[in-house]
Amino acid sequence: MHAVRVSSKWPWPWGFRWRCSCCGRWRPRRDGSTAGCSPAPTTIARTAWDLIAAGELWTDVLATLRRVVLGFAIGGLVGFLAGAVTGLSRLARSALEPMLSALYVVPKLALLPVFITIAGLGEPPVIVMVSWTVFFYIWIYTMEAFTQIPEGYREAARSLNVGRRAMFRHVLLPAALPHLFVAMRVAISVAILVIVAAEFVVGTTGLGYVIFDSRRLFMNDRMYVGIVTVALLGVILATMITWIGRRLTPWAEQGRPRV
Amino acid sequence: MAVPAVDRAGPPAKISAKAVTRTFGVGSEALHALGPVDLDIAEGEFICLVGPSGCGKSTFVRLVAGVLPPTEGQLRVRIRGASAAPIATVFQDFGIFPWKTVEANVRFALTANGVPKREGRERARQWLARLGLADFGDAYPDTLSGGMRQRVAIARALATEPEILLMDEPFASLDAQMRQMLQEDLLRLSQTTRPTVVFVTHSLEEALILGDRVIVMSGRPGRVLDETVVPFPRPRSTLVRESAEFGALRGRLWGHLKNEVEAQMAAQSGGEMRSLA
Repeated sequence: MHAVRVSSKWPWPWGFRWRCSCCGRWRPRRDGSTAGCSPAPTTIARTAWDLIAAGELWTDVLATLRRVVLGFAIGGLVGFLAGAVTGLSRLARSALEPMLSALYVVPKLALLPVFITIAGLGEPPVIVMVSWTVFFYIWIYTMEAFTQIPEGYREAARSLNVGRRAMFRHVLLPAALPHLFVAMRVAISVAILVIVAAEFVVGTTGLGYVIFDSRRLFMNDRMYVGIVTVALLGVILATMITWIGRRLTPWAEQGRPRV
Repeated sequence: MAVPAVDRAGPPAKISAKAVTRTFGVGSEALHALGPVDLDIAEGEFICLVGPSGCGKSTFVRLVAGVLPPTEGQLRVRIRGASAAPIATVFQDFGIFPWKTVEANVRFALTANGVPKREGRERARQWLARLGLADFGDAYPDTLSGGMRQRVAIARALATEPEILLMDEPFASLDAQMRQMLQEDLLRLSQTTRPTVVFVTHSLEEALILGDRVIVMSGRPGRVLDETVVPFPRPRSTLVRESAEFGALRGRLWGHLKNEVEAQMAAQSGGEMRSLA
């Protein structure tokens, strides 16, 4: 554990804000104890460096990343299929939407014990948890995207003699695609949110575990390293999705938010 | 395409409607939108449909396009079968796809109808060039002006070399200058390739400039109220609007149309009064 050092060279405004926002003490107490202190950003950076050098952080980053990507892929794919079916078929919509909507409002984390009961301890319930969460976001956005395609596009395609498969591939899918990327961006953020909580409850790896384990051990600097890393992971994944979205939907460039 | 009752050896009319009606919905909710309509359109004829809003002009176009089936009556469309896509439609909005480049839009119409890729690309370029869009092949439609977008739609329709060209208020959302430019384009193109054209418009002037025959339709449910053969010889240009005869014709047609528009407005306000009471 590092003692908190306050450099007089540290820019005052930042230090001030940092201290207020953390509601912690900035300097060590007179007796030298650091309990309740928030580590300075420099301390966090140094701790992060040490953890990376020791190869410790990578294990947890990779564990979290694997779970997020896997859960996101499964939930996203199933959500897309469900969204496409309910969005394009009125029958499927009236059959499935009430049930899915009812499930949607169940707090996701409240279901974690259920997933643990079903999938056992370790990685599976965490991945199921992420998939479950991602599924609903992607499903709702996808359904919305498909139902909102103006009838005129379909009509124009039908007047061009377009078959069902070409209709989906050349008309419906591209019309929905920009919305799907918005959905993925929202879903990835929520996936990160959920995985931190899930890793806290289940398992002994991952950034969520690092954060809560450090807090329990009063390793505040390590805790902050975990928080910052999770935030960075979220930003990087969201930026990647945005970037891919831009490459795949170049026509929707105008008026699109930057992040 | 689901062409309604294609009859290759039928009567000489290219498009023949007999007591065609179209109703939307069923029971007490049913909306009688069109008909009965009796109308024969000859091969190579340029027909303009005018009428008050909601009179079923667009419905008629959709029936001929095969996008909707008629509720009652008989609609025969005679196809020679020379072109892969015998009927092409230009819509007011949503006709061209914003996710495809200009060239891809035109190409899509061709490849969807079985034209080989390479030939499709060539024909797409050729038609874009004919409509002054040669430099915009790689542009996305949303980066173009409304007039240019409609030109793309026209290029796409004509690239399939259709026997029948359906146009549903294609110039309605354009400003006056753009409209006149495109009217000139359309006159030039339709006078060289001579497809059978059904052109829906709100503008009597446009109908008289472009059409061989102007059909005035009644308010909903739309029926044929008046047919006027346009006497101006072809090839003609948009300059016909300057002639005295043009003004007289427009005045006469407006006389027919005005009654219908007034009747429709009265019916609408009557309906509002009832719903208030």
